[in-house]
Amino acid sequence: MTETRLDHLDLDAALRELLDPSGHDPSVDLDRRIDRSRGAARVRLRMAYAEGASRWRRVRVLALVSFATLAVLVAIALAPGGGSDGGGVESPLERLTPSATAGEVLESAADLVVGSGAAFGSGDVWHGATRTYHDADLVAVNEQWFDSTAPRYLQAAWGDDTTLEHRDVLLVDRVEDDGIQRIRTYVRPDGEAWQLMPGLSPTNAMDVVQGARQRQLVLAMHEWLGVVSRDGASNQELRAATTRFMGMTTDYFSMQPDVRLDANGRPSMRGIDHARLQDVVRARQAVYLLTTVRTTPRATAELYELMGGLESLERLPDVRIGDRIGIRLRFDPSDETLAVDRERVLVLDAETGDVIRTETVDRRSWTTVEPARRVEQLGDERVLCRDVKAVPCDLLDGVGPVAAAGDRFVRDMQVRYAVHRENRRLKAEFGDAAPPVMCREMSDAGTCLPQTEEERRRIEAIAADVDALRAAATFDNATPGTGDDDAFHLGVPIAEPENGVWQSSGQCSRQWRQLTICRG
Amino acid sequence: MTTTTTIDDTIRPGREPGAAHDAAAIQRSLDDPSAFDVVFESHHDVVYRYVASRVGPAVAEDVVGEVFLAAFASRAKFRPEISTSALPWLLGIATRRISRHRDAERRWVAQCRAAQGERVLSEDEGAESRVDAELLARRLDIALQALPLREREPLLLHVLVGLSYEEVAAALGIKLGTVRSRISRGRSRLAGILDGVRR
Repeated sequence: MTETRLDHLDLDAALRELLDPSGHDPSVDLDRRIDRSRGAARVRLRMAYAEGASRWRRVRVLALVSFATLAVLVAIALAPGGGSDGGGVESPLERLTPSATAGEVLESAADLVVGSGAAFGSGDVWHGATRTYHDADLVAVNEQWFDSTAPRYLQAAWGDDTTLEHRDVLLVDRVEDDGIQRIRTYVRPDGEAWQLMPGLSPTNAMDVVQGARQRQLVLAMHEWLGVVSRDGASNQELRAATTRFMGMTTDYFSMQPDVRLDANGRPSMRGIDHARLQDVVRARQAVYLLTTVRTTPRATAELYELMGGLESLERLPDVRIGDRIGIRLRFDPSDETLAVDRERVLVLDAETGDVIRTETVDRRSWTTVEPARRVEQLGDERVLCRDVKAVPCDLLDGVGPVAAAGDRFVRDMQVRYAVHRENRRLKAEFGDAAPPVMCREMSDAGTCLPQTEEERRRIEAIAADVDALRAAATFDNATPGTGDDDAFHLGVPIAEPENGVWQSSGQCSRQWRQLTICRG
Repeated sequence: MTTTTTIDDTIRPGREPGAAHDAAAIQRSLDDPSAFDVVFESHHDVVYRYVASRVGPAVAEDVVGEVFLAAFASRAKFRPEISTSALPWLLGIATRRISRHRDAERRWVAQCRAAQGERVLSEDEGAESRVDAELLARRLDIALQALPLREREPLLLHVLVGLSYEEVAAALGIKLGTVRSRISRGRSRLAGILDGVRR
């Protein structure tokens, strides 16, 4: 070992090695993360471009628009069969009451958003976007703009070509005042700037059917929102506006199975009343915030002000992996009056919209504000599980998906963790000369099976230390499984859950595995 | 000390050629916002790697998005007479954004240190060097946290990204002499804390 002072090169190399963003976890594919970051940032920039473009400068792009969600939202909310008294599928909005918390509204709205895969907003300029992910990577974005004050419709899509050739394609699809739709298709070869697709006319006039219909729908929706958002609007006005809007949506969503239609093929109007519409409006506000994808803090603040009282949220891009969709909602950290910096995570079944997992974390410390809960298959039952403690994976090797219930299991885990620490300490201290690693063999119940008398003696000594710590510790029966992360490592007992069982999660994540409490 | 592929190695070759275009692209973007794409595409990866080194990949994506949005919003303030390349300017914005994520930075460095310790334990090295490297990582973590921001920021920009002193000055808006002295002081301070590990 050198006795000279570290020179600059050594120091710089040590710093780079320490902070190497990909060097510590083989599961971190940095190139993939960079690609994802580039895609997400590009979307945010494009939205900023749209805000700054001279054509639209006079109005703000307030939020994302999607026509589908609003229609689905309204249809579900208004359809009599959609409520719990209708005997059909319960509308998420049925759960809302005038005193519903923002969180409840958001949860309901999230169901709708996920169910439809889209969202909407308000303002003079409407901006809609849908994003497509493949294995959590953003591969395509489709955006629409519509200016109700000067009816023009613009659509742009970019992403991987659907052909085998992998390239960026930008499709600009614009409907002019004269009702003519013009499409320009751009491509971007690797490392080059966007350019018009070779062989295509710069202005390729097309049939306007789809664009015109969307334009009409947006106008109807704009009118409807104007009425339902206005204080003092009469029932008659609401009905009239809603009828017009729903008439549009009938055509537009006739292929949408989630929309309940009456005998005439229209979304039913029965059951409409102020209270319900107010729910819709509240949900709309929530969706509005939910779908403020990657907005700037200023825009978020404006939205917050506009909405008046709902917690300010930013929705980060959804992540869809297989049959699950992850929604991340970030409470606006710039809102000092709320003094929160939290992120809510919802993982939903893409097929049913059921919440599989929900959790709220404090982004400043990444501590859990609300414990994670998720539905898991436990034997023949589906039970709700809550993560309690992350423990090293090898500590749970050999432990089945369902472990023995009770504090004995926790105690055994604590002993194994203490043994694990001792293994590490010995190896760090003695290196290759360290004694053999303890607890290499486990029983089915997850207890150590010593291989030698010496190992048995050492494990018993460790277990005695753990038991001594447990005996001296305070048994916190009131908050089972919470607030005792450090306590677990120190050997403090964790209260046995009432009517619950401990289990370990099946998968290791970054060499850690969750110890959970599950209840039927 | 093992060698690693550094960010410096990765970004240096590609940075200079794009520099000449940055100022023009930013100027054009004042009328045509999409012209800003040139700056974004040229520098995103470098900015990401730097941010990821500071706060970890998990937080980097959010921060990088904020950086480019902030850069786009303030593009009229870009001063090509200070640096024709937009990279120092972007990294200056990134540095300020990172300062809002101190907790994430602390957690990331702690995670790096722990991971390095784990790796050291599993690598086929002599016991002495393994313990030594683990201690080094631990002390480097502590030393980094102890380093005043005014010294840490220029040092990390210089070491992790490979910015020249002039570029660091442009990024942080401080004088060249100040950059030199702060990086020198920062290195000395770090080396002093780490020195005992090597004995």
